[in-house]
Amino acid sequence: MRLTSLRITCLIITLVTGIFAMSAATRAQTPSGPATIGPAPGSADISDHAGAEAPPEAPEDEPASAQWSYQACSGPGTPVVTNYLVVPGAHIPGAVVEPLVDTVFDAKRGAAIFADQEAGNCIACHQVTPPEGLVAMDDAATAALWSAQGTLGPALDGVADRYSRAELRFILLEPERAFDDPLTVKPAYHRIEGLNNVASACIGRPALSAYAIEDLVAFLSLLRK
Amino acid sequence: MMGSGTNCAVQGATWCRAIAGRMLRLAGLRARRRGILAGALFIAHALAVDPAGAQDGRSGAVAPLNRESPLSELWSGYRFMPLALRRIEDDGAQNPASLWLDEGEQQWNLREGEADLSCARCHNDARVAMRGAATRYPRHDIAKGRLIGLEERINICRVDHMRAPALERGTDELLALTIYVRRQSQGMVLNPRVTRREKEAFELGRQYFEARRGQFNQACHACHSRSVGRSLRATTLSQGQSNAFPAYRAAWGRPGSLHRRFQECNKLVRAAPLDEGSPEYLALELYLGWRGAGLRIEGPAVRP
Repeated sequence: MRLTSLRITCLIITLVTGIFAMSAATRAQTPSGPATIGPAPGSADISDHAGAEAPPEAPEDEPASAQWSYQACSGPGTPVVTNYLVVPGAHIPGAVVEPLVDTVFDAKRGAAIFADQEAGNCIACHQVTPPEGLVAMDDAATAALWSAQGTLGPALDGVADRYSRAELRFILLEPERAFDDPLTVKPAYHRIEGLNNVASACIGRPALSAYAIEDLVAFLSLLRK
Repeated sequence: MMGSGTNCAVQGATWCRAIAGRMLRLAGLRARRRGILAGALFIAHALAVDPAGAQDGRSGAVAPLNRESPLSELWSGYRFMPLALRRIEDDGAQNPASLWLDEGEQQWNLREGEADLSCARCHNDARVAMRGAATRYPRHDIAKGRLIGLEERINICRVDHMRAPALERGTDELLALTIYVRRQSQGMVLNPRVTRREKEAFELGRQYFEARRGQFNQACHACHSRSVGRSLRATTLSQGQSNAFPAYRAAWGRPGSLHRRFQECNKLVRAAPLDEGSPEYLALELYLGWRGAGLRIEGPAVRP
């Protein structure tokens, strides 16, 4: 068929257009691109918590259109904590004082979760300057991951001056209540109920585990001006 | 009436139509008559000579034809693309989608099926017969009793008249033929009809656009209405307009349908994607077409 040879020509053009469209930065944003399995080289390991499960296989009854990287929904997805206590916050309507899980939190791991597309992918929307020593910027892949920062959300430098740790935790758990905006684009990263049309591999799994939430809170609380 | 129409033709300005529409509204004309007048104004506008090409939604904003549209100005996704991609789309020799356009022309003339017919045997010259066709899809099909898209319309012709098998969604053949048929409406104003027949599907599409979905619990409109122009990593969020699809995407390495693009969006928010041609996607296509009515059909297009 003539299109076969056309496709070869196309491939060449694609490679040219790909220079910017599929640059290292976009690679991390495109789910069909090479999957970032596990943490980026040079960054902290984000999956070394006890209780992390092996990624489940993609279910077989899924339609062909639904076959894509399930890695995104199969990270360290446990445990899920829903019985946290919300108290009034000083700057926003709520705050969650107690950590969701009792473990050692690591801001370095939080920084990795912040940038990793398969984990928090916070950097897709927020701009941030990571504090010294948290991110290995001399590593090319890590630097590329941190270079493409989106503008959908606000800049987070100084976020720890604006909110307490307990408030940061509440923002990650319930952004609609925290910002009093039921239509906010910010996802609730630890929610598993009351969601609509969730991909089957992600049902019952929060976008971030309780451990990841705590690591992120540890990272965010270092962002002072 | 003639006065404002002529004026529009001279100036080719969308604000002119908007003001004229407001005047008609002030005059308290009934909805139906207003529709006819708006149609006349629309024709005047379509005929308008616009040498700078400023009001095509690419270098200048377009006012929505449907004043209930949630967007106050319309922009083609073209505006949000990197400059290099725009150049690739504009340059016929460089545009990779033009390969499928050529293939589509061959398909048009290819005799197939038990009836040994080609599209051209019945419709003759596509440049005449298919002119403007893409501006009206998706539309209600009386025989099917539901909404159909351009791809399905092509397949109905194949099965019923050519007695040839329907082309599979996503195949080069169907994409090429769709791109070729849409090409005959290039530069014409997208304006699918929403009458009583389409109303139910239209509401379904609106709900789909506004409902939160997926593990990330995000609605289409959170990004494509409320956050247009902001960036998600290195990608600038567009208005999510449908006027350029099927489009060649660098990420795919080939053209893909609007419904395939919907699937990609679904995956980004970790929602379960639907199949191409599903009732929800067709309804969403209708809603987007209505919301973006006023933009011009662009194609063959390139998208990041």
